[in-house]
Amino acid sequence: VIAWLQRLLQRLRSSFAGTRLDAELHAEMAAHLDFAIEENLQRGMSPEEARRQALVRFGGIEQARLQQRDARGLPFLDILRQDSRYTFRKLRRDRAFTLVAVLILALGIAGNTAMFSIIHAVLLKPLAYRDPDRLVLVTEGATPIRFEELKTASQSYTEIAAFTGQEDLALSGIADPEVLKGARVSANFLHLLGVSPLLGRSFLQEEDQPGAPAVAIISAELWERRFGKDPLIVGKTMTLAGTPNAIIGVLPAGFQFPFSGADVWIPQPSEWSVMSPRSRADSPFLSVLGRLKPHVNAQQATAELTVLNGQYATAHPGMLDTKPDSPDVVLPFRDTLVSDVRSELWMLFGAVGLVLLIVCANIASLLLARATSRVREFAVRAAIGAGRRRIIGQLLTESVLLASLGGALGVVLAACSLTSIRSMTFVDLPRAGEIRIDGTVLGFAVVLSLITGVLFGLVPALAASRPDLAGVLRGSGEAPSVAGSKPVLHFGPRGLLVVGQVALSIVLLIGATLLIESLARVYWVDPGFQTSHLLTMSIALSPTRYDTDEKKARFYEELVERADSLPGVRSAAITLTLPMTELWMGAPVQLAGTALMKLNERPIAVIQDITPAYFRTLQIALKRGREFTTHDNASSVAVAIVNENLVRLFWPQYPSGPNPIGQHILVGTSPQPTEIVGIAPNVRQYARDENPKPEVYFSSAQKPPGTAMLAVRTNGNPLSFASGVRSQILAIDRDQPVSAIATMDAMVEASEGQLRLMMTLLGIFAGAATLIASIGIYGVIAYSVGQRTKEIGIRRALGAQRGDILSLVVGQGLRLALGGVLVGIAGAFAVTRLLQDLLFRVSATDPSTFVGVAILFVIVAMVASYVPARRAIGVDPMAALRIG
Amino acid sequence: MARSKLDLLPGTLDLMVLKTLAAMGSLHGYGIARRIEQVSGDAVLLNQGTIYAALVRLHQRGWISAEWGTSDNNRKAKFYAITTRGRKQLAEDAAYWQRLSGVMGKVLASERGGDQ
Repeated sequence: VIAWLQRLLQRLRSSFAGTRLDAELHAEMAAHLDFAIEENLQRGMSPEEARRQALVRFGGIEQARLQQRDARGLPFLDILRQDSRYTFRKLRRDRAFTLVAVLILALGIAGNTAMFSIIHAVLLKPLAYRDPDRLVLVTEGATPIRFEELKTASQSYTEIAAFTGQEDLALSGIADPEVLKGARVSANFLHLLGVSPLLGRSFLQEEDQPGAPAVAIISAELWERRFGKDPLIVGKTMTLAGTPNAIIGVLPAGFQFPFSGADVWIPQPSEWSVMSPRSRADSPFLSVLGRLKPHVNAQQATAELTVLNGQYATAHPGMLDTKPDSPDVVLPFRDTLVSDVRSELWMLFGAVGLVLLIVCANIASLLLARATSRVREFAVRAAIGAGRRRIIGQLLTESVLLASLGGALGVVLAACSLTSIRSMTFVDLPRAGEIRIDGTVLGFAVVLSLITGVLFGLVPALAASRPDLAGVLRGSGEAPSVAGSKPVLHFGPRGLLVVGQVALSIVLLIGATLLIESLARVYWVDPGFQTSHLLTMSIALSPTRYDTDEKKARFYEELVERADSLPGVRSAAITLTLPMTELWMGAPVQLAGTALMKLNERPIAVIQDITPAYFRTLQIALKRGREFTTHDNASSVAVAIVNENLVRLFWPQYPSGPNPIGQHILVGTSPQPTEIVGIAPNVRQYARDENPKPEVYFSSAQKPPGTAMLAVRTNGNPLSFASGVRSQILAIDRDQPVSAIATMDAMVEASEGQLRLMMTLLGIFAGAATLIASIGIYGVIAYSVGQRTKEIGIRRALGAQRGDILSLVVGQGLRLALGGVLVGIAGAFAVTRLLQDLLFRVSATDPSTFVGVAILFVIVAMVASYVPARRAIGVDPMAALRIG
Repeated sequence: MARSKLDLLPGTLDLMVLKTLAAMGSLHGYGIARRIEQVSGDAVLLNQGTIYAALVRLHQRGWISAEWGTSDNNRKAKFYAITTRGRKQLAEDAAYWQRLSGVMGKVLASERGGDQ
C-alpha cells in the first residue's frame, strides 16, 4: 500500500510539473534520434535516409509523448484540469445563464444546509454529557413519595435523580434585582450526567435533606453576567428568593440541564416552590432521570418500572401518579428532549429536499436547452476525436462546477440564515444554542453540491453526447428532435423535467396551504377574553420574606391598587397563571356532600387565584352570580367562581336544571368545601387549538399564590407602561424583581409558534418551488417557440389565426402543467397526512385545498406560457420562412 | 528481416527493459531499444518510442534509477540503471514468465494430444 501511495504521490507531483518533464522528455527523445541517425550514417546511409529510418523505427513521436505522459501522471487529473479551464471560460461567456443557475442552486443548497445544521445539532449530535446514550427519562410525573420508592427499589440504573421544571428565583440584595431561572435537582445530578463543575464542587448528599444549609450552583453565564467572573466566587453568598444561598460551584459554559437557559441549580427537588407546600406531597411534579446499568436496555427498564408502578399503586391507592391508563415508558433522554419538534424538523428537511429536487430538474432543463444549442460544438469535438465518455465528462465537470459555486454561495447564505433562526423567539427549539455550521455540516454541503451537480448534469450530458455528427456538421444545426412536422411538439426529457417540477411544487403548495388554513382557523377561535392592550409580567414572592398568606395577600392588594392608579391604566389584576400561555396548574375536584372519590379518579380542573378585578381586566363577562370583592378574604367563607365546563361536569343539564350557585365543591386534598358564587364563560387556558378544561377561580385574598402573573389593561401600547408598573412594585418592596414582561398578544403568538413557524417555512419553500417551476414552464415553452419559428410561420402563411397560434402554444404549457398537477395531487394525497398532527379543523386531504391549489397552478402555468406565446403571434410569416 | 513480428504482450516490455539493464549496466533509451531488438533477433515489433513510457513506469516504481550523463561519443543523454529492488522484481517476474511459458507449452501440447 505504501508503495502504491508513493507512486500516486509521484504521479500527482508529475501532473503538476508537466512543462519541466515535457522539456526533459523532449531532450531525451532528441538524443535518441541523434544516436539512431549517427548509427545509420555509420552504416553508410545518406543523411536523409538515416533520418528517415530513425524516425520510422521510433514510431510516432507525439504518440510516444502522450503515452509517456499518461504513464507518468494522472491522466484523469489532466483531463479534469483541461475541462475545468474550458468550463470556466464557457461559464464566463454565458454570464446570464451562470448567474441564474448559481443563484437558484445557492438558494436550494442554502435551505438544505441550514435545515441540516438544525437537524444535526438538535436531533443527531450526542448530548454533552458522559455516555449520553445510557441516560433515560424514567417518568415525567412522580410524587416525591414515588421517586423515593423508585430510588430504593429499582435495579436498572447505576444512579437515579429527580428534577423539576423552572422555578423563578428572585436574586436580590444587590443592585438591579432580577428573576433567575432556577432548577431543582437531586444532589447527585452532576455525577449522574458525568459533568464536573468549572469551579467549586457538586452538591453533597446531605444537602438534599430538608433543613440543610441553602446552597446553589450557578451557570457560567450568570457568573460572567452578575459576578464579573469573580475567581473567588465559591463560598460567597447570594440572596435567592429572600434566602441567603452559599454559592458552591460554577458549571461549564454551555451546560444545559434540565432546560436551556437555567441560571442556577438548587437541591431538594421535592421542595419545588411553584407548588404550594400543602400540595407538594400529593402532586406528581417530579421528572426522574436515570443512568442505565451496562447490559440493561430501555425495554428492560420499562418492564421493571411497570412492576414497581403496580406495587406502588397497591401501596398508595388514590395517589395522583398511579395513572392507571397511561403507563410510564422509559425513553432515551435525548428523544424526550426533542420529541416535540422531531417530526416537524424531518418534515421541513423533506420539504427543503423537494425544493432542491425542483432546482435540479429546473437546471437540468436549462442545461438541456443549452446543450441542444451547443450540439455543433459537441459534434466538432466528437469529430476531432473526443470519445463519448470525454464529452459526458466535460459536461459533468460543468455541472459539478456550477453546483460547487452554488454550494459555496449556499453555505454563506445558510450561515446568515442561522443567525436569524437562532434568534427566533416565537418557537422554543431545544438545543438551539448548538446550531452552527461545523465540519459535519460543511461536509454535508460539499457532498450535497457534488450529488446535485451530477444529478442535474447527467441527463443533459447523456443526451448531448450522442449528436448526429454528419447532420449537424452538414450545417442544418437543428436539434434532431425538432422535426417541425409534428402537430404536437415532442418535449422529450425537458417536458418530463417540467412535469416533475410542477408535481413537486404542487405537493409543497398543498402542504403549505393546509397549514395556512389551519392557522386561519386557529385565529377564528375566540380565546374567551380580549388579548389586546394587556401588559403581563411574572412576580415570584420570596417564601421567606412573604412567609404568611396574609403578607402575600397584602402585597397583591397594594400592587393592584397602585397599578390601578397609574394614568392610562384601566384596571389591573393578579392571577396564578394567564390563559393561552401554555402553562396552568391543575387540581382534582369533586362535588361536596357526595361519596368521596379516590384522588386519581376525580376530574382535574385548572386552578386560578385571582384578585377581584380579574374578569374586568381580561374583559370576561360572568354568566351567573357575582365576581369576588375585597370582602372575600381570609376571615370570610371560602368561595369560588367556576367555568361552564366545570359546571357541566356536575350539572349536565346546565344551563337549565338546578342552580349551581350556592353549591359546594372539594378542590385538591383540602377537606374544606368551597362555595360556588359565580359562573364564568370558558376561556382557552392552554392555547387556541386546545379545548377549554374545567376551571376553578379562588379569591387570592383567601388563597394567595407564591408566584403570580400581573395583568394590566391599558390605553395604548401596553409595553410603555412596563417601567411605571415596575417602579410601583419596587416602591412596595425594593427587593422584589419582576420577569417575563410581555404583552398578551405576544404570549398568544408564542403559543402558536410551532404552527406559525411550520407555516412560514413551508410557505417560503412552496413559494420558491412555484416560482422555479413556473420559470421552468416558461423556459421550455419559450425554447420550443424559438425552435418552431419556421413552423409557426408556415401555419400563419396557411391561414392560422393569432388565436390558433396562441391556443397552440398555451395549450402546450397547459398540457405540461396538467400532467404535473395530476402527479402532484397523487403525491400530495400520500404525503400530507404527515401533517395531520399540526392541522387544526382541516383534513389532510381537504378537497377544496387540493382543487384550489391545482387551479392556482394552472393559472400560473397559463401566464408562464402566455409570455412566449405572445412572441409566437408576433412571428412574421414571410421572415420566418426566409430563415434557413 | 522477420516476415511477421511479434506483438508485445502487456508487461513484457517492462521485463525486457529490466533484463537488459541487469545484463548491460547503465544504458540510455536508444541503447536499451537497440539491445532489445538485437537480442530478440529483430523478432519483436518495437516502436522505439514506446520504451519511454516503460522507463517512466519502472522509474516511478523505484526499480530503475535515471541520471543525465554523457555518452561515448560526447552526447548528453539520460542513463538508466537497475536498482536492487529492480533486480528482486526481475528475479520474480522472470521466474513467473518461465513458469507461465512452461505451463503454456504443456497445455498447448496436451491439447494436440487430446484431439486424436
